[in-house]
Amino acid sequence: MAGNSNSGGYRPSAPQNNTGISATGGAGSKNGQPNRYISGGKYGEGKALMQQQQGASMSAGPAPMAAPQVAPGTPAAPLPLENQLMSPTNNPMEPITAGVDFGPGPGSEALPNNISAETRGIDNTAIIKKYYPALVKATQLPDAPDSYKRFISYLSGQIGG
Amino acid sequence: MLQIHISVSSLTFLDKLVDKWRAGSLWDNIDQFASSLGYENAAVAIQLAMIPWESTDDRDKFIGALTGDSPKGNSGQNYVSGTPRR
Repeated sequence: MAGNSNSGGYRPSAPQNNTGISATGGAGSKNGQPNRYISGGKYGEGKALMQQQQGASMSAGPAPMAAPQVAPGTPAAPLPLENQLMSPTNNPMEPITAGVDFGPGPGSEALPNNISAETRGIDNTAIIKKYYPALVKATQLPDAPDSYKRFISYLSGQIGG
Repeated sequence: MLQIHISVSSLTFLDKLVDKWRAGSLWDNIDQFASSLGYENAAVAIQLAMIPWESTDDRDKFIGALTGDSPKGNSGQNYVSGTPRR
């Protein structure tokens, strides 16, 4: 017999790669992991598993996102003007006084509890006390209207002056 | 941004400069805001009155936007002559 009797053919003693996965990476199959017959189950189970694999092929993975093409030195595009300080309101039907205790719309009871100012009364009194002396003097100006004097009288009662 | 802060001393200083009640003055602004927003909102009224309004029309438009009504200050026997009585 000519040639090496050991060349070619199935060699059970040689290292085998039976997992269907390339050891060096590579492109692999475009359909993802190949279907494999899994033996050792009950009668008919192998065929059922084979059909299941054929019906639901493994995903090949998401395509990589293309990087945006920006020329060097190009200034960054301005951000969209949505939800900026001076943007138009998203609730055009809502009164601008919604959430405060005067004017149209719901009052402060509509605000979440953590937004309600628990110290409002204290802050108000502090501000009134701060400016009260000058406010009182203005009542002595000629032509000071009664509405202003009533307001100062109200403040006097608030701060106990 | 320009920060506007008026202290008690500067209010007193303004008071010395003003010899009569004038429409558009700080005191008139306080009267208009307090009467329109309600006395219970006195602190807000005082702070809004300190804004340097371009004119009484601008101020009154702002009050109208807040309250949905025309300003209610400057009422009484001693109203400022020449200013429409509301």
